[in-house]
This record gives sequence, C-alpha cells and structure tokens, in this order.
Amino acid sequence: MKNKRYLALLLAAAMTVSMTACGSGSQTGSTSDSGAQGETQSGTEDGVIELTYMHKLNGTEKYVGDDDINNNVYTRCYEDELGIKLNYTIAAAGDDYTQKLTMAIASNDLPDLMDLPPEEFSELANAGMLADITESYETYASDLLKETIEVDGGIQLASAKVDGKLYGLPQLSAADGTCDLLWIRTDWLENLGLQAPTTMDELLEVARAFRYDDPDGNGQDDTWGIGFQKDIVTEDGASPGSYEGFFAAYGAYARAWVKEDDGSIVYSGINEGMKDALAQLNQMYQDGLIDPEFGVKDTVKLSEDIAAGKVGMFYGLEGMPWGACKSNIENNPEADWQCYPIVSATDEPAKPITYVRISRYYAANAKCEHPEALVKIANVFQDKINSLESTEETLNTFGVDPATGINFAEYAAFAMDPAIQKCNTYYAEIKSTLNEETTVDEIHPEAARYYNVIKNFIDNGMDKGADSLGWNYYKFIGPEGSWNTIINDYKANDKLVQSVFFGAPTPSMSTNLSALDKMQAETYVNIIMGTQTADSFDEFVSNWKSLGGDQITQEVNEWYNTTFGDLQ
Amino acid sequence: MKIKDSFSRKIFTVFNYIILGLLSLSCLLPLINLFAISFSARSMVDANAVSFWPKGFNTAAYEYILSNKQYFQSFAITIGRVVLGWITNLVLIVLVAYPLSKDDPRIFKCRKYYTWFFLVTMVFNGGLIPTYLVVSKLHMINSFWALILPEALPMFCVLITMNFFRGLPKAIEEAALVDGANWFVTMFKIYLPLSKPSLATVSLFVIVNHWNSWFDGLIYMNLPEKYPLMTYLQSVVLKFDVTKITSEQLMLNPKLMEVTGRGIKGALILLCTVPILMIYPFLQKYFVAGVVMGSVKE
Repeated sequence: MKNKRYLALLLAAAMTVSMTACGSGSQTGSTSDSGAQGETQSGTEDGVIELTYMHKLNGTEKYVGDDDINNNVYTRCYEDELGIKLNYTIAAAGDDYTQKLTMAIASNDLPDLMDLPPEEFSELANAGMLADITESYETYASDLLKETIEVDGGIQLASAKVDGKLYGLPQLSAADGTCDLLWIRTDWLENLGLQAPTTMDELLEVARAFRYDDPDGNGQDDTWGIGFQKDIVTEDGASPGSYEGFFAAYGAYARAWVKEDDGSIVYSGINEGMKDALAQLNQMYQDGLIDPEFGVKDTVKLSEDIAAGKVGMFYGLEGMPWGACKSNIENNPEADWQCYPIVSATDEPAKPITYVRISRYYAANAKCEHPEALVKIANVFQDKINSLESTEETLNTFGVDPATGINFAEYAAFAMDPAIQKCNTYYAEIKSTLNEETTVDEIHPEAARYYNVIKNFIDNGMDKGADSLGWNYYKFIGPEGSWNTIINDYKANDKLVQSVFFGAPTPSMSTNLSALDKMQAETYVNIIMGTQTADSFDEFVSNWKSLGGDQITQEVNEWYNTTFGDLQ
Repeated sequence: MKIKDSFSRKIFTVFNYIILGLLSLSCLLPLINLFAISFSARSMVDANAVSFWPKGFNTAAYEYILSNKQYFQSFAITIGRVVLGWITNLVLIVLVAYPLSKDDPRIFKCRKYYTWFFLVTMVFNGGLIPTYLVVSKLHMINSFWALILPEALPMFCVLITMNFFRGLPKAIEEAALVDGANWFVTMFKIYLPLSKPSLATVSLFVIVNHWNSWFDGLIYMNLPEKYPLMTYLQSVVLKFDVTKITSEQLMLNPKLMEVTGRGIKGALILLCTVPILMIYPFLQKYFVAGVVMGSVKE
C-alpha cells in the first residue's frame, strides 16, 4: 500500500513536469502518456489518472468554502470513485468560451477532454483530432446513460458519428419542449365573455376584442391584441412572441427543414403557406392588433409589456409561467394565464414545429490515452441525479443544496440532463401522487420536491397572488400544466413536426446562410409592415433559391442521408 | 473690483449651467436607475416599472452576488493589480520621464531618438494576436503578471510627467547639482516632491485604467477564478442568464425568485464602480493643476 502511494506521488511529479512541457505548446495532449498509462495497465487500481479538460460554463456557477472549479463535490467524486483527476485548464461562459476554444485549436493546444459546440465538434471529428469512443461507449456506458442518450432512438447520437464511429456524446436536446403554445389571459377572456380560440378566425376575434374592448377594464386604450417580438427567423425559439405557432396555422415554419412525404427535405421558410401567413399578419398590423413597434422589441421588451399587463395573448414555449406571466400575476393577482393548443387557419390541424438544438458535444482528444474516462465521468451524473434510486441525500449533495440554493449539478463535467423524458416522467409521477395512486416516497425525489409545492398551492386555496411560485409550478407541471395539457396532447395525436436538420452548418450554410436569413427576415418584416406587398414573397422565394438556397437544400438532404442512412 | 456682467455674459452663464447640468444628469441618471433596479422586486423590474426609486425594496441581488466568493476573489485580484500596477507604472514613468525631460543635448545626447523610440509605441502596437503570442511564449498565461507587465509603461502618462518636469525652474536643479547632488538625488529630492500634482494625476489615470481593464483578464486568464473584477463584471453583464437558475433552486431557496438579470447586473455594476468613485474626490484637487500646469508653463 505504502509503495503504491509513493508511486502515485512520483507519477504526480512526472505529470507536473509533462504539464510544464505542455504549456510551451510543444507536446500537446501528452500529459497522460508519461507514466499513468503504464500504471493502470499494470493493473493498479488506485493509480489516479490525470486528465485536462476544457469546459463551457453556465455563468451562474457559485462556489462556497474551499471549493473551486478544480475541487468540488464532482471532481472529488471522480477522483474517489473513478480514479480520475480532472483538471479544468480552460473554462469560460458564452462567446468567451468559443474564443478560447478557437485559440486552443489554432495553437494545437487542446486538452484531453473537451466540451465542444456542434460546429467545432464536427470540424475536429472530421479532421481526425478526436478519439473514437465507440468501444468505450459500448463497454463503459451504464444502462442509465445509454437510456438517457438513446431515448429518441439514437437520432441525436447519430449526429456524433462519422463513418459509423462515435466521436462524442451529445447533450440531448428536449425537442418536444420547443413547440409553441398559445398563451392567453383567461381573466381577460372572462371579462369580455369570450372563449379560448380554436380557429384562426376566432383568434382574430379575440385579438380584436383584447385590443379595442378594454379587457382590463381600466378605461384606457392601452392593450394589444397579440404580442410579437422582432426575431422572426431564429432557431433559438424567441419566446414570448414567437411566430412559429402562428405560421404553423398555415402549414409553414420560419426556420425549419421539413421532411416531405417523398422523403426529400425542404426549407419551410419558402413554403407557399408562408405567403398567406404574412398577408394575415399584415392585415392584423393594419388593423392595429399588433404593436407597431414590434420590429424593435426583443423578447425582454415584450416580456415587460406582458408583466405590465398590456398583452393578453402570445405564442410561446411551455416554460412561460416562469417569466413574464409570473411577474404579471405578482403585479396584478387578478391576472391569470392558461396555455392552449395553437389554432389552424385551414382545414388541416395545425402542427407545431419542434427543433433539436444540441448545444454541445463531449469529446476526447485523439491523443488522449484514456478516452473511456469520458464515458465513465458521464455515468456519474446519471447515477447521482438522474437515477430513480437517487435519494434526497444524494440530491442535496450533488444537486441543489437546500440550505444555500446552490446548484451543485452545475459543477458536473458531463451533465447529460435527461431533458427529453424528465418532464413527462415527473408530470406522470406528480399526477399519480395527486390522485393518491402513489405516495411521495415512491417517486423521484426531484419530482417530490415539485409535488410538495403544487400540493401546498392547492391546499392553500390556490391563492396565486400570495404564492406565485406555487401557481408557477401548477401551470408548468401540475394538473393544468403546459407540459401535460398541451404537449402530451400534441404528442398523443402525432401533431409535432420535427425539423430534421440539426447538424453542424454545411459548407454553403457557412458562406450563404447568414445573408439568406437576413433577406428572409427583411422580407417578412416588410410584408408584415406593408412596405412590400405579399406578392413580393414569390420574388423572395426565387431569390432565396438562386442565392444559394438550392445548394443548401441539397447539402441538407445529403447530410440527412449520410447521418441517418443506418437508422432507416 | 467687481466686474459687472454684461447681459450677453449672463445669458451665456445661464445656458452654460443648463447644458452642463443636463450633461451631468445624463451621466448620473443611468447610475441612479441602476441603483433603483438593483434594489427592486423582480415583478417590478420585469414590468419595466422602476425609474429612479426602488419599488418593492429588497436586497436579493446583493445577497446573490455577495454570497458568491467569485466577487471577493476578483476584488482581491483587482486590488492587487491596482496596487502593484500603480507602483510599477509610477516607478517606470518617473524613470523614463526624468531623463527625457532634459532637452539640453549636453546633458542627454540622443534624447531625440529615445523620445521617438517611446513615442512610436503610443501610436503603433503589435496588435492583439502578436501581443497574445508574446505573453503566452513568456509563460504569463494564467499568471498575475500578464495583467501588469504588458501595460507597464503608459506613454501618455510619461508625456504628462515629462512636460511637468520641464516646467519646473531649472535653477533649482542647477543649485542642487552645484551643491553636489547627483542626478538621482535631484530626481528624488527635488523633482518628485515638486511634482506631486502631476504624480497624483498620473496615479489617477493609472489606477482607474487598472481598475477598469477587463479585456486582458479575459484573454490571458483561462479560468474565471483568476478574472479581475471588471472581467468578472463583463462576463456577468453579458452572460448572466437568469433562466439558468433552475426551478429546483427557486423552490428550495425562494429568495432567488427575486433575482433578475437586470437587478444582478445593476447591483454588480454598482459594487464594481463605487470603490473607484471613492478615490476621485481625494485626487481631484490635483487633477487640473497636474494636467494643465505641465503643458503651459516655461
């Protein structure tokens, strides 16, 4: 035993020397090959492997006591349970991270393990700079990890493969949660004696009433029919005030790649239905139902209008009770919001679009001697947070600390959030507990935490003015929650359309897409505001195609066929 | 004798006061607005209802920031860089400015060339990437010195100090030299005590500059825990996303519910700005004398 300790010490020293060499940029990624390798291969179990890592931060991480980024509950756990000492060499939030990453790639100074945005991931994977983790994944990934990653049938995982070899683990995106819902102030509906709209005509009627019939009864002309913000052509789901739900009424979407019945993939932003949708928006604009300043209002500004009680209807995501609506209720406890399915303008039912947005891939450097560490580390988060067996205590240690409200899970290196099934599972568990079919002890402790808040809200007479957080959960994941009332209904009736392209930008996209997007956004806004006629949409479509759109479409089809060829 | 103001003079004065007043209000009001927002309730901030007085007073934003040790770490780094940077800068400024202020060719032969040598750096520099490469090859990435050495000699301050030195009567120096003092003694015992206003001005520039620099921290430091205060502020103002606070956190610590992005940003901006504002009143009295005297005398 003592010998091993000595050996470990020696190794650590060797490591430091090789680290220094690394700093000079001459021996990238060689940190782990000096001695640690021989150590583990010779079967010593407690020889600690040291690996460098670069990580994109949330920007909300908070450390207390002696903890820091290299010494916290997760890094200690990796060291104790896996024998992996993770050294964060680069960490930053947002664009700063991308800059540091570009710098590291340019100077060929990449660490052993990496947290990569899709574009850089595909670049490095194609350049052979990432380690093939196909076998490691097969061997080391726990059932839970596999279940989490492959919950969608391996579609998102397929995007991490090149020529059938796996080069990284995708941070799964909860596509179902990106569909639009129609949020309406029910107290305004009641004041005016209206019903929630089920068709586009009814929606226009409600919007007109909200605009001109003084729904808040304050005698002032200070309300808008429906709220929209400025970003029309965006994949990041501008909510509140999204347009996708409105466009869907006409069978069109602003930014989606939709698979046709014949198997080809087309861009829905040039869809014929879009012309009608824009013409309708133009009509609403002329009728004064839309704030004429929408073109300069971002989601934050629109949220301010919602919180101030000037907007009674908008398209937005399931999480809306969190933001502006909750503030609205705190400012005015009379207010109440409810979400409804989007409406259709045609005989066809409206199908909301969903987007897969893989924010990051976790990958290992091709020069790293222990790519399996990636998978081993990814298992930890699953076992601690995601597992049904995890207890209140593990959640307190590895999840959110009840005393300080610090989210320890933010420290985790590879946190594969089970985003896709989480809301469904929790909702079902909460529902059955509320119906007294299960008890609190039986359900996942995180769901139990939500359950307690909802139960408390219901027991106290659903006083939303006093307990806005309770209202918030009730509308989000409770009996009247957005997730269950609408999204599950969308899913059950097969109404969700998924935008099929979610890879790294194709070559033509990199060169042409931003110009095309700009042209598209300008045309849309001009048509809505009436500076261009709706007929000019046809001209835009032919321009879009000739200015690189056709080429991009072709590349998207190729990407789809190569990526999912195996799955079909 | 009292000078009687003419009518036009009076009009000028009135307008002067109005315009300067508006100008200072336009600087002050955003700060007051930030102050109000940082102490306001979330629902009020979200509805954009806060103007110049907090509504729904609470201190959640300050509690959130001060409960994170990053603020104190960054604060300590900034204090360290201000103190060390100030000393380094001042020593180098004086050592460069004093000889360059001797325009008598019998005293300092190639003064012209040396002046140009230094002046060129005021106009031209290597640019971002070459500078980064130099710093990185000198193994200063992640090191505290990366914040100090690349900016060790601010040429603008050298010019101010040099002009001030030139403005001092030569006779004093000559008298000291006659009495047997060498160049160093005249510099330390004669020139430095006489140029306090100029040194105070230069100190103000240097201190504020060190306090406010954020970009060097961003590019030279690879981990946020090594960020100086302004880099930390920058990362929070640009990157802080209140939706990253999970629902679980809100539930377990309802105080977090009052946290808003704008509140956090406002509070942190104030926490980062107020300390440096405190220095101004103490150095301001030297300020005008220091900048102006150097340039007009002789």
